[in-house]
Amino acid sequence: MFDRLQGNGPIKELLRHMLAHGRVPHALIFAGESGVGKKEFAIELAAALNCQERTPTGEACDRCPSCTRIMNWPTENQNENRIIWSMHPDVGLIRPPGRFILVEQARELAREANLNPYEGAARTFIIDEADKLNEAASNALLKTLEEMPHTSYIILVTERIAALLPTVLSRCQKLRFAPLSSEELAPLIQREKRVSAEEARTIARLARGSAGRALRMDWEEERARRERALAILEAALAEDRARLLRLAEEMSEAAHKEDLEPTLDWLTLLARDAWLFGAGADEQIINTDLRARLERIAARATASRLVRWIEKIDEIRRHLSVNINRRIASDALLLAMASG
Amino acid sequence: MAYQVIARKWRPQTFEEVTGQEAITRTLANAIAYDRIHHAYLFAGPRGTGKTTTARIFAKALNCHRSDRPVQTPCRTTDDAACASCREIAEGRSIDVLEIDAASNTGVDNVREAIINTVAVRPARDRYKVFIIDEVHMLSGAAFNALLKTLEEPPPRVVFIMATTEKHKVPLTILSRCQEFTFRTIATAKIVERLRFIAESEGVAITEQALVEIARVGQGSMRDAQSAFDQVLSYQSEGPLTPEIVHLALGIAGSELLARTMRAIAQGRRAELLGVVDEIATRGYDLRAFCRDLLAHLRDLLVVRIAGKDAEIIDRLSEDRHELEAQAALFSEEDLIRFFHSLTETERLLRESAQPRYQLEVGLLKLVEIGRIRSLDEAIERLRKLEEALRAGHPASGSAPKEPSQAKGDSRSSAGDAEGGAKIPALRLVANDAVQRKVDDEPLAGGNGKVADRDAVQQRVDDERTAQEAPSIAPESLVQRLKAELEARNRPLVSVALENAHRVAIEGDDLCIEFAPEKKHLRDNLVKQEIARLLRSICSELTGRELGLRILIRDTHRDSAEDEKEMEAKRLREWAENHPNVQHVLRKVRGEVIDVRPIDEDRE
Repeated sequence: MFDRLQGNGPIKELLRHMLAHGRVPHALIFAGESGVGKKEFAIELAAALNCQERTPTGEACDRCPSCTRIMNWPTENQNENRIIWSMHPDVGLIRPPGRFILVEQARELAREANLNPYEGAARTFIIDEADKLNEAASNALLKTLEEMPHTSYIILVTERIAALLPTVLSRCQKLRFAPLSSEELAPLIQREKRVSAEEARTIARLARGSAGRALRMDWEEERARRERALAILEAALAEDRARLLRLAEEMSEAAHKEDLEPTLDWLTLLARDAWLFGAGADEQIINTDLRARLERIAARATASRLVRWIEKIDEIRRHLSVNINRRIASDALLLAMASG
Repeated sequence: MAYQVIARKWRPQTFEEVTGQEAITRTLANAIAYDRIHHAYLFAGPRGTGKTTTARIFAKALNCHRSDRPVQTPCRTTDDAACASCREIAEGRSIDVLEIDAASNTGVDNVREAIINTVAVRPARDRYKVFIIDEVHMLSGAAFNALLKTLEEPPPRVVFIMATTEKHKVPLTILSRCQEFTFRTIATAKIVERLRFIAESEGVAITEQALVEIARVGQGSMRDAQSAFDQVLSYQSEGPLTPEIVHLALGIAGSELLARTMRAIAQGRRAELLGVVDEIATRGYDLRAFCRDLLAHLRDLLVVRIAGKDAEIIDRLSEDRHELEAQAALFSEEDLIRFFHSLTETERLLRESAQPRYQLEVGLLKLVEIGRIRSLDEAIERLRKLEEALRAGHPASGSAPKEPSQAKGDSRSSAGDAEGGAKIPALRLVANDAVQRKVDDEPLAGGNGKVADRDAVQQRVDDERTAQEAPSIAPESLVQRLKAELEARNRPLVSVALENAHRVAIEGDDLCIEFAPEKKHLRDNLVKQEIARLLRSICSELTGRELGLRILIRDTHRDSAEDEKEMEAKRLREWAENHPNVQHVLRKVRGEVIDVRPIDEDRE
């Protein structure tokens, strides 16, 4: 039953409707932020299509042998270059073994999708991280996606639907998963991570409605980065260039990609928050626990200056993707912020 | 019958049903009628425009059993009377019509096995052996090459139909052996028409506006629109479908939300803008898609602003247009263009952003700022113009680049212009009543001036020049007016030459036009007597006085070892020649300057 999954009421409604009217499309895309339950929904749908004792609403019973086997996936190392089968012979999954999903995987999936079910009612395949389908793999799926046997289904799961080829998108129906609301997430975070309610709300907002991302987040580390970003903003306003250069050094000392870019993200977020204070849109602020310090920044920086900062940060981020010297880049950024 | 998506269930079965590709279907039908069937076709065009569909219809038409020759209208497979061939083709199991997925069979071995080795075998039952090669752009280079010979001269009764969305990936050697048909994207109105037909046949109640919204999502692709239609049908099956349901089902921002956004921008209500983004995000809409919708909306507003609300180029219903007009009235044309640029950038950033939601918020808030800082922009622009005018018109600002050799004796920047004039080693023109050419590279009788005097003279010279040279026309407008006059007289080439001049200014009684050495060819155009006369007559009209004409080449790559004395002499000579009094004399006596010597200070 879909209700065992969190959130996304409208999607549940829609899937129930499709199941009840026998209108489940053979090519589906589940799109949405990571950690909102897309893959779980896909598996649940596969179970519903094959369930031996469906509920009156057409959903999976979650108990029959078919359902339990579909929800049971091998945990030990699989050959990632092949289809990974659940315990049910008609439900399988492919995911990128490396940077891309390979054309061999796509072809195998297309071949399998053209077979009749072995024991269930519907052969159902999930393509996880479908945005990683490379061009050849995507093309190899086109004919199958368009004209599938009546008993086969393919569900593409992706966080970045825009990265899929237009020719693929054109053949699928797209279901958009909404992020979980911060109100839904915050209590969970507070319980699991033992942080204050204020911080939990901040984390929930940062996690953009993804339970997975919220729980994975190392809040101590993030808080340290945020503190540094805040110090940068304050020093830039005070035009304390010596301090800025020290901070830039600190930033690029640990300047692995993993640290510099999150700090830049924080700079953007804090500048945005300060801006919102100026705009009087308090309820949209992310870092509610920093209210007092943000307000001080907002009082001293004009809106257009904050915009310029954000633009400069964006520019640096663009440059980082082409491998510039990080130390020089961060020096330049911070000094530029001090001067306007 | 099992559920089939609309795109599949309503795939056209005859040429007439194919929407929006009339030119192609008529050509193919005529080819059949006049028995001019080519052996290789290439169907190229965007997704969902009917390539595969047309290929299948053509194959059916070639092999239909209703006649003993190809027919223009093959059987509909929904008819009971449909012939075996048409039925088999529709079901993809005809032995004489082979549909090959080139994306899954990319290699040369696949091509050899599936095509080359079977092509020589006569059709088993039907008239033609048809190979439909879909997604043909995915074939490897070797596979394409293996096809070349077969494609050029296949056995009789073989037809190849290749379909692709990416024609540029198909080798030219293949293209040259095929008849090409380019499928176009389909007009929204035509998609609406087809969707309406489908809705009626399926017994679906849907409003016209909702159909338009769905068709627009397709962006010219029938299949995209039909997939969207399917999705809307899954969303709700009771009651007539309205645009609101379409927006909800497809996760797109309706015109209402876009209007809200534009109003919030106009009124500077930032909290409202954030509210819009919040709504989009919590509904799980695609932020980038919203950004693109807003861009399209801005475009529509711009069109309304420029062409009025009745413009044909807007794909909207009439009630929408009044709303558009009301929104367009809130902004100036420049505003809308600036918004468009800024939002395009935001859209680009959204693609990679780690925090797309906040990126979009910032992007929208920026639009509010853009409206606000407009006056500042204009002020800056005016300042810039002023600065340029000063630089170009006032010798004291020294537009000429300084040269290393001069750095020593040249601490005063006021000397810049005079020295700039000295940097004319090769050729100078002095325009008098008749244009005179004068070669200037003979060494002057320099060296007579005492070094001690030089600075004093120069100083005086500069002062004098500065004093007497308040230009009556701002140089900026001078060029513009000259150009306008020239264009009015139908002399665009001269006008272009002026535009490319390094500097155009009135110096004393001369119109002085300078070119960089690499623009020498332009100068050569102006030197002609007739053109010089033309320029001078225009100048006298503009300024009300007779002006001389000097067309110079300014050498910026001067040899640094140039003798400084010679430089100085040249500079002096230049100045003297430019001096209005001297020129006056020259004109009176039709003379020529032979030598220039500095005079003693007290003998003034």
